[in-house]
Amino acid sequence: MKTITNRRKISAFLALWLMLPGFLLLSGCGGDKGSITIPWTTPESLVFAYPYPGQQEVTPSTQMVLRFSAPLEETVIAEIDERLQLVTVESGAPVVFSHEIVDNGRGLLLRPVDGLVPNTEYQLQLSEAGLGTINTGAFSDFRFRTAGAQQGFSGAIGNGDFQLLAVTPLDQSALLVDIEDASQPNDMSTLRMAFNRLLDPAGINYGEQVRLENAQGGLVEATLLLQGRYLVLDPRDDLEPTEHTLILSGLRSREDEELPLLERSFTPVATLPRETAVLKVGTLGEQQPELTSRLTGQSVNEVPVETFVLGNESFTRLEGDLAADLAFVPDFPDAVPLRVPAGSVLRGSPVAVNILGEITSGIETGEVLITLLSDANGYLIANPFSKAQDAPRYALLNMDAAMTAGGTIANAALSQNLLNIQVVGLAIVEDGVLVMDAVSVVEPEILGLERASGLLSFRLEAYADQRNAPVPPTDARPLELQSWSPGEDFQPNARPGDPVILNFNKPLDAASVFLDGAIQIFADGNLVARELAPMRHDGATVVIDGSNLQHNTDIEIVLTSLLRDTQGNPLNQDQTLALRLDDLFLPGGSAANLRSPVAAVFPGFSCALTGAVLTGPRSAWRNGRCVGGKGSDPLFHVDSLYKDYPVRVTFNRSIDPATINDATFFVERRAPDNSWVLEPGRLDILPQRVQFFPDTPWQVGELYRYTLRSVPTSANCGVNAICAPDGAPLQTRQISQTSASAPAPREGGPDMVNYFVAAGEDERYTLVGLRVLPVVDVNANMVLDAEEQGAVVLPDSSIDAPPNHLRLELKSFGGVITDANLGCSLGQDCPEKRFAFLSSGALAAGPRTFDPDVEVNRRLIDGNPATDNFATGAIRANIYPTTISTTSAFLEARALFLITIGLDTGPLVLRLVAQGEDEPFITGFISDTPDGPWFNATIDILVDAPELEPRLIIELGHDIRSKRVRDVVLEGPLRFVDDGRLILKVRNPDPLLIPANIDLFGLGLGSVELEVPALAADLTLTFLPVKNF
Amino acid sequence: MTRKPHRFIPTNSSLYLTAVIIGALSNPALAGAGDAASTYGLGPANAGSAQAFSAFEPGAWALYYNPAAMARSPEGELSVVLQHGDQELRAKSLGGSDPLVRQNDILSDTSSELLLLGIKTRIGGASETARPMYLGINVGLDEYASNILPFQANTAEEGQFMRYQSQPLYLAFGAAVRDIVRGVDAGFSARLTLAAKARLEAVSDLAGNTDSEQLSLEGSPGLSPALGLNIRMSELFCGSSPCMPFGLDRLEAAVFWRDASDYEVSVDANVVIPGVVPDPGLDLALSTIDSFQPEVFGGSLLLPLGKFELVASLEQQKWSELESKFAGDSVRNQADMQFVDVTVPRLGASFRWSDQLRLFGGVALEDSPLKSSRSQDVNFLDSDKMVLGVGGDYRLDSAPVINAPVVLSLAYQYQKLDKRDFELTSINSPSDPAPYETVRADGDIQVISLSASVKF
Repeated sequence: MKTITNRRKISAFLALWLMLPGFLLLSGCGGDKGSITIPWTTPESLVFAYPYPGQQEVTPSTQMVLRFSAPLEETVIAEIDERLQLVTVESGAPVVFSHEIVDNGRGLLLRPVDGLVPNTEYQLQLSEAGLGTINTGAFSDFRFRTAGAQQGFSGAIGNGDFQLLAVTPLDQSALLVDIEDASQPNDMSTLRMAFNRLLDPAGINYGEQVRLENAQGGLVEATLLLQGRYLVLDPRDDLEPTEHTLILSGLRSREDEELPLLERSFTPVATLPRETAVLKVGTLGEQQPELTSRLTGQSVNEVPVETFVLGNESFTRLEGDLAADLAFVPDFPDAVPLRVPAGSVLRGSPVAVNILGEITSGIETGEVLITLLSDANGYLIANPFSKAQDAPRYALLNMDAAMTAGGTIANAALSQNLLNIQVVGLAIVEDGVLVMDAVSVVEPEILGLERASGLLSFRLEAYADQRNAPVPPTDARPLELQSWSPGEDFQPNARPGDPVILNFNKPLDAASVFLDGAIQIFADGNLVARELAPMRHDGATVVIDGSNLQHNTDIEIVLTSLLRDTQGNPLNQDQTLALRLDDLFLPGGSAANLRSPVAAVFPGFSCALTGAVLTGPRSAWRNGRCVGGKGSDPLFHVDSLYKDYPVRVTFNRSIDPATINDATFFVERRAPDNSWVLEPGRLDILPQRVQFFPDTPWQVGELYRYTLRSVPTSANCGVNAICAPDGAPLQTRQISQTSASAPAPREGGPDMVNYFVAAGEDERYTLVGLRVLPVVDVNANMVLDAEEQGAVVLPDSSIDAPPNHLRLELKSFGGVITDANLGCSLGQDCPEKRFAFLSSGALAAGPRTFDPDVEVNRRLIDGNPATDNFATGAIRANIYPTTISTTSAFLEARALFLITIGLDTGPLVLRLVAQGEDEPFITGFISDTPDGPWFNATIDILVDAPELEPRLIIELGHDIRSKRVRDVVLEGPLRFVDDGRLILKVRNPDPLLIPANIDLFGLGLGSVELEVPALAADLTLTFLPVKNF
Repeated sequence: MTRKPHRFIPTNSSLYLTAVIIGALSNPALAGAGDAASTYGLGPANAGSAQAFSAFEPGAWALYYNPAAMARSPEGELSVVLQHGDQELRAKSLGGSDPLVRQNDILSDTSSELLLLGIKTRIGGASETARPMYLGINVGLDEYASNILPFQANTAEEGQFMRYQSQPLYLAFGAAVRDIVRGVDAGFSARLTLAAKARLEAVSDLAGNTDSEQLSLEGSPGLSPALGLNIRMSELFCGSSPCMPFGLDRLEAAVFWRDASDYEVSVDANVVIPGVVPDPGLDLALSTIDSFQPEVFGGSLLLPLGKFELVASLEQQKWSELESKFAGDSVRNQADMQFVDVTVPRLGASFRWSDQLRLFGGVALEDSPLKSSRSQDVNFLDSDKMVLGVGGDYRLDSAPVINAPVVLSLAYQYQKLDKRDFELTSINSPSDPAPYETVRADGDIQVISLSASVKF
């Protein structure tokens, strides 16, 4: 029984023991865990912006590059112009832009139609409509500031007192300023300074005005780079992690302001141990020529060179490897410092240099090299716009590069420093490869004429196997002088004030240029002090100030092997360059015997004017006609000055810079009440050239006038007249209606007042300044002095005439004149004397547009005027009317078989004008030939011989006053020379007839007809130097 | 009967049990502090009395609670425990700036499955006059031994309960001596803990292709001691003849202390990435702990009254130490959590129904040691709880096959977690550093513990 009970108990307990858990578990399984999902999606957002919010020194020609984490919706894209506004912060004025959708809607490219204004703060605003799913946080305060201009209007350069705006990395950019890792410079840092003024390169030397001192007060060895508002200090070695002090003392601006003493101390952070990452510019593996940038949608690694003068089709495609030094990443979790060392080189494909993108210029650029002049510094930081874990990192890099070209001419024309290039990009590891997409905008100066805009779309990929990555090659070519300006062959084309430009085959180490003994200048054997011939370094170029360059002086420029390239290679051989400007003969040994200087101007016409019409419609406005001319002379049009250009005055001999000042050269703007308001501005004065830039850019559509002051006699130089150093006032009236009223050689004239209207994009042209050079009448006294070499008869009896001449022939004579001979006495043969030589003058031209339909006949391509050579399609260029004077011609005539009279024409004053009265300017055509561009123009010339005084016992009258020679065709080649300058040489395919009548009190007595036979006129024009000091 | 043991294990149940076991294997473990021994109790007697009897249970599991208790019974035993805990831990969303999408309130519906083996044997005192000495060894494996070293240290956006996690390998041994002083037994034990260190050095490219690898892993054992004293009042104070007033002659008291313990894992990796990170490379160092158990000091009184035994116990758990532990914990250091020491009272009673059957029960009130209601990223949840347990032993004086006494035990424990509000924070939340959600935590835990002990 007990057993049974026991068993029952056992069974019951065991059953319970086993079953209970099951029941309980069943009951315990009442609720299963529900799914838990995290609804947080990182909001779709901006992941890239260039310029980025807070960015300073943004290149004004920039486009805005935006990229989002997700494609924009169709509805947003359709309304993008309404949803996004770019405005100036100050006035809220909207910027008109076109937009481009990139990468299927993930990117957006905004192109401001007229470019942004320098030195201006902009804000990108989003309307309340937002951007669809894209988070709008980044747009709440999206401001950036454009860089001040590197030349031109002072208001565009900077405002306020002369000051240092920022030193990177002491003053970090907006994206870095709150990151502790980037709060101090590091041992790899280069100091990049931006000022609000153009710096005067003559007064800035490292170790003097600029010092970087170590903790012991010693000077740290460094290279100084200077361009415009930028000054870059690149320490030669890594900085020690001890306190350093940057000292700026006595730094001067181009406007001669002095910067107050400035000291900034910092302690660089050590970045060791560093690693070097080798990056390929381009894609690894198979070449993908069609690859476009994710950021811009444009071909990767192409630097477009967009300018008005070259068009928008030119580009260079870069390739190469870069070795980037990365700081020890674990020590810099938030901002990894990186450096691409100085001397790194990228190679670019040749650039097509076509005028307006259409006409082959004849320049072969060869390989374009981009060489880092200083250590490029940057940081890799977390994406500032997105917290998403897959958001790419931001890469920021500041660099200073030199652009050089393989071709000699192109190098001279294009070689330059490009400082403070800001590269901004995205970096992410894709399939184990670090990929960087970056953008930057550079503005290289093209041919000394214009700044191009190039939006670079970089793509770099790091080699996957960094231990076996290629070693980036260095530019191992020896350093040599490639060309120089004016050079051996073109010294007659230069004038005092023109710089001496030395073009090397590769970029120079800036520090070596300024070493004592690297470049020495001797004048007549005496060493010229540095301050009299200051130099600046610009890429592969050294520009020496020519302000003190004089005629009649033997200059020697000695280059030694102290000059080094960026890798430290010395100049291949010591060299001495000999330079002697044309000898200037002083008649009677005294400058007081020279003629008054004459000015060629643009905009406007180079004489004192009368009869201006400034009422009615703009097309009816007239600038007036020359004082001293006929009442029937054409009234010149009021020129349009494209808004970026200065007023430019070129003198035919050196003037006294001190006599050009606010009292003698001033610009006024017509106020609404028709009063004239003084336009403040800046005069850039060289011995034979002056430019006026207003402080604020010209206002498009406004009427301005400028005055060059002069008085006929008794000039108070610098007060009421611009004068030559010898006291002769500017001759503003060259012509007269009687011999008696002809201006005396040293007579000035009335104030020269020219009107002009500021023009916008619709009237855009590229302003080109050309001087009539070389000339034999170096002293510009309109006389071929005995010391001035004219034409010579060669042994083969041919005649060699220097450029810029008119060979005259006596075509016919009649009336009382029964015999005549040109150049010498009757009965003598003197073909070498039948020349009038052009004195130096200048003209302004502006290539404007390509006309694909116009037909031009280049009759002189083969040198034979009888043959035609038609071409369809040419560039229309504005040629602005100007005056060119010549030396006199001698004519001996016999009147009535009895009386022999000698006639000296005196200077001929040639006014080059448009054919029709309604034409505001002459239109020239530039067309393509296999040998380079060809220029054609048909003009009228108004000829005056104010000093011609025919005399047959008593004084007779003549009619060479405003004598219109019609339909003068001039054509010829436009060629680059080695130093990068263009030279235009035109001749006449048709003979020109200059009929002259002699009268007595209006009664015709006789006539002489002079002819310039076909090809006998030579007009050689030399472009202004491509670089100024 | 002994020849047909399969009768007692019905096929269905067997399948069911198997299913439960297998089904439990894939359950994710929760992480943090405490373990089965302190959270539920080891085996039916401890689980079923809400650990009220723990200081006096003379079986093998006394090693953990009060090693001196082994001396209370001369019987040796070999004990096997299967313990299943079913946890329904809930977090009800009270809303917030960016709350998670929760299908229901249940945050965790996991179970713990513990397999314990314990042995206790008398090794000394062969003669009656000598002091008997007992040795014990415990081995505990979670997930029915499929994972001997579960280790979790997580951050959790949905929130996670600080306790109720898997139990890493439990290994303890110890000894007790009876009458070290008259009427006083003493015991000592040590629990094994592990500190694992892994070190990896490699050179890698950005695609993760490594070379020059060096990998080492070492686990250093540590011992966490426990001490206990068991005092028979009458023997201590009165000798062989009872002298205690109020019929307290059978009153026993126990005091016990066990040291804090935890399992530590540190991972130290170093990678050199040519072109990015040169030597000395990028260090990735993680050091974290799991299964923290606080230092405990407690005392307990046992009063037999006829067929009843009443027990009352009070223990202090020094959780405040966890603050400094977490401050040095790579996973949790950002959470800046605060802990307080707690005192846990336990009451229990047993009734001896017959020589074979004993029934017991207990209750305990445990305050939560987690003071912070917000722990950045970690989002620990913990609340005050009430623990109730009931159970019974059945002694078979001569079990089939082995012909030895076997005690079968079964217990059920229920834990009720009070409601408590917590604010959840995460570095990944849009609202960081502000909380994105407030949750109300509570829970129900049911534990079934079965054991079979062979006595000898």
